[in-house]
Amino acid sequence: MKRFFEVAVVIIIALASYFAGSFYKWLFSLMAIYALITISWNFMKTIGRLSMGHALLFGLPAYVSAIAYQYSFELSLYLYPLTVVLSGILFFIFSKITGRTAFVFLTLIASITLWVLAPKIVVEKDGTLIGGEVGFDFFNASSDHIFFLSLISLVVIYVLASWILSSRFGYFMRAVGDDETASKAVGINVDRVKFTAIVCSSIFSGIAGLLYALDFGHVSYEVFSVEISIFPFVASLLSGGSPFLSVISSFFLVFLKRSLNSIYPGLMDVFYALVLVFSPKIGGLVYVKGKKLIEKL
Amino acid sequence: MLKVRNLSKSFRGFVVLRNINFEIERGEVVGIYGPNGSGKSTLLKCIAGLEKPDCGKIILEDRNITGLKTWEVVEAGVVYAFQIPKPFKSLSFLENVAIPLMRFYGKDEALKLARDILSKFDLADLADRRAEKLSQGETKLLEILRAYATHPHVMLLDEPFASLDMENALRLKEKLKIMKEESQSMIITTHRRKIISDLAVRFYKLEGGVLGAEG
Repeated sequence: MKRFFEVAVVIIIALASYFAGSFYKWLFSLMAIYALITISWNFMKTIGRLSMGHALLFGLPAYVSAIAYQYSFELSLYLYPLTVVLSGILFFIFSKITGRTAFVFLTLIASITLWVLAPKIVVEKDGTLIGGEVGFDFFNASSDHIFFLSLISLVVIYVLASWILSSRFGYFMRAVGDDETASKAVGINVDRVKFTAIVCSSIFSGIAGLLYALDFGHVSYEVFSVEISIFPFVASLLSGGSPFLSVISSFFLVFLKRSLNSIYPGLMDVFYALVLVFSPKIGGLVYVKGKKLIEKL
Repeated sequence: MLKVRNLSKSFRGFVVLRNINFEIERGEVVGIYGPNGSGKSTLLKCIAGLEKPDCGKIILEDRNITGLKTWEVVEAGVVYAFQIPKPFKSLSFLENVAIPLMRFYGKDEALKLARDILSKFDLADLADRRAEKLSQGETKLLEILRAYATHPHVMLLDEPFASLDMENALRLKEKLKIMKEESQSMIITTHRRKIISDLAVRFYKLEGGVLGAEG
């Protein structure tokens, strides 16, 4: 019942955006894409791994597909799922070789590395060099298609992620997130749980990245920007860890970004910086006071 | 049932366990006592797969379980309970006990079985309390019930009475007696032999990494 209500709220917001005009229809697609990144980030957080490099999971499959698209549509179709899985495997290796704190920095470094390297990637097509800072053209879907694809993806992935988290496997994920050693001691195959969770998270982010590429019909190095990596952290922080509220806070943040950046370009970055600086305070306020308020209600 | 043969373990050249030999039969409770730092926890962790022994064998019902991963050792039927409890803090008492059962049963079935276990041990009132809100004594109970939940071949209880006041120690002992009556095999380490004198059928003294049999 609760899940039904949550999905209904998302659909109402979507329909309101759809009928409010083409700008809001497009904005909702963007909101849904960013909400997908947040769901993916939260999913990985459940196993105790905070990623600060989700831009890699988001951008790499789309970027590789876009390069392949220059040569053939089929090649791009094959490489997309392959890169999604490989990105997940890369994050799993990171989780194997690092502790929880080092994982945060390693994922951040990996995504920043791609952000730096991507503008240097050029390929030859029909005798001319393309790519670099300009990026690559990609298959462009119509705004209606993107709107419905984003909405369907968001609803399906949200319901799927919620279902997994409340299942037996979800309990194992939470146990691993709480204490890996204790999880091993009760017979949980921690590596299997982590691998599955991270690959699922990679799939969710990869879908968001693909929708983003289809929406703009173009992929550049900006898909690896730090802002995309910070976004789910901020959205999650503002939501107090609630999966549904983190979707809503993602919507809010995308809306806020448009509004702030229209006042002064880059103003949203100042907002992100302030949230990060004051994150312990905000976390305390949202988690402790928020919980007390919910308990009172 | 469980045999430990010529097991040794050292950390950076410092020998913690030296050529350990002992065994436990089905339904037995065995006590291992010794001063702090004598290697009791390391011995249990080696059996549980949490530490790798340098040499020696651990045989469970004719199967060599030496060097298996911890979850594989648990699947074989040997479960370890930590000296300092490690509850899953985001879960309730009931869910903590249900987690090991979920390896064999569906979620709802596991939760039902866990509730039955809590009722059997008169702990039903703690079922919905989150692990992070439990007292020290309750956390110890949780740690041991979590190990017991799947009725393993052998439970390895690492200093279960450490840092418990008398009331909680007696409460825990009552629960262990119920498990003993069900023929649950247990290896219990302690630095106070007296507290488990009426639980264990045999004792081993571990001192300086050497295990000596005693009554």
